[in-house]
Amino acid sequence: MKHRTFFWFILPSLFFMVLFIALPIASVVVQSLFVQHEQVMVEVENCGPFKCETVIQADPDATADLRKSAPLGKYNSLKTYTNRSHLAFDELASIWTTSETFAGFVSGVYNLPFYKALFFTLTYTFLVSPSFLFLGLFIPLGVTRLP
Amino acid sequence: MTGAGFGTAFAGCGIDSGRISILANDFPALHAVVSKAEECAGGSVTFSKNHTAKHQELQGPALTANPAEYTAKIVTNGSIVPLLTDGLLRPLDDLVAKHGQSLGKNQLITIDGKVMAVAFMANAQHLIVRQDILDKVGKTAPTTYEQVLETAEAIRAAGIMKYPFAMLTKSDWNLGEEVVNMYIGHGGEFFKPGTAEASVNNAKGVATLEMLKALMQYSNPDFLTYNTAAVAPIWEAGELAMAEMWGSSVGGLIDDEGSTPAVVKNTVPVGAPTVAGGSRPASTLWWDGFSIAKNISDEDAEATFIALVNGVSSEMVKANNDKAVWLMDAYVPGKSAEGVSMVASAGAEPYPMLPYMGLLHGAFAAEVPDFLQGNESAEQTLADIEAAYTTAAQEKGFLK
Repeated sequence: MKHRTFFWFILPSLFFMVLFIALPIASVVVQSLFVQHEQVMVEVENCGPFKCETVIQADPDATADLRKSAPLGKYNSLKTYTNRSHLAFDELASIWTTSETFAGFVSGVYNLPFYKALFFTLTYTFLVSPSFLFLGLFIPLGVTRLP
Repeated sequence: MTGAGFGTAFAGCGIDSGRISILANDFPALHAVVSKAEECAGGSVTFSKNHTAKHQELQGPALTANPAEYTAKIVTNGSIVPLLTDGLLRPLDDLVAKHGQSLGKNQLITIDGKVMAVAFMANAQHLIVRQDILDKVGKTAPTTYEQVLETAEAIRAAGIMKYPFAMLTKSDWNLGEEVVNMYIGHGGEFFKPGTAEASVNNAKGVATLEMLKALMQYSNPDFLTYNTAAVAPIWEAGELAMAEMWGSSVGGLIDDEGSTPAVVKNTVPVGAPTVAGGSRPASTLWWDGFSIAKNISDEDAEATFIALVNGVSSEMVKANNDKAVWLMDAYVPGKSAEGVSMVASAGAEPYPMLPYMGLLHGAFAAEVPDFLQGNESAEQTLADIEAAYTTAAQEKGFLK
């Protein structure tokens, strides 16, 4: 196929792949470097069926102004990646220094949400999937060999 | 298109046109209100509704869109807070003045001087007991959680039931609510005063978790799946002697459907127990009400408001008197309302309307199952709750 023909042939598909796959991924990567603006808090009088009380509430108008001036939010560099919900660098370091045994370290790491999910996925990949594969092959093979 | 010309004739509430679309939680009292509002549909008034237990996850994105997917959201003093934080609700003062003559003053939820929602029912979790079973073991209805434990042990020891107790401990919002209630019963404070910093890792927090774990010994090992929809049929089947339930579900338990007369006759709502010698019941007061989206046209807002005022009319209350503790004047309190009244008069506090309370509630729901299953210590769980909350609050901009 001529290069020219090939180019026109894949152009529609390329265009939509860039538009609906590549650009959203790039957008997510950029957004992942930001967190929400600090909420502007105000004290308000709040009345309901039970009683009136003074409570702290976020001020949506003030926060909306902040959002308008910086729509992406507050720049947070890679801290979302390294916070406790994800790679948890600080927590890993403190578990390493405080745990006395290696087992203690492992159980501390296992308590962190990301690593717990990771352990689970790895266990599944290396234990459940191979057993499925091998048992699925050898049990029928064994059955066919029965007299 | 024949309907369009007769719009006024079809729409019984004096609405000519507009879009009404309601998002609500899924239980009988709310069905009653929304169905009554639906009577305003017809002609060029379009109506749609979505009753779902996932309403809290949907409400933010659905009301952020412009125009909003739903014109109204049935909220509680818990679920309204994220909508207020994001400024997604419109003040209702004008609409109340124009169309809200039938609403009582105590129904108006006023925040910073503006009416942001119209409450129509009160709710709280409290204990219900089976009088016949308590009589068999010679006990009275428990007023403290320590007595709940004693009574449950007596029922088990008498060989009547192995698992006589249940509370709403499904490992989602439900379990979070039980932790909140029990911690309040212990007199705990959720946050350091004046800040958004969680402070639950203390002796009261430990006592809260230990009490929940002790109670779960008398609840079926399936307890992490127990929401109202799961516990109500077990109660109606006569397999429970004590349960902590919502006031709004008592009406369904004592009606003549789904159970035997013997169980229904002996089902008695009592107040919420206190715990650890405290005086405040381990329960929180709730209201349910309607609020109107900001990102919709004024015409749709007006149509929705009129329809929902119709939804909470005296006619609706009279037809559904026992489905909830209604706040409207037409309500006649019956047996099903006794529990909520007792909780309120015992001095229970309303659920805290703090913008970051939902994040802490979510952290309870996510971390406490590990403790109840015996995988970790109470102190570890509480430390995890504070850490998970802090991370979430930082991402949402409540903490630096």
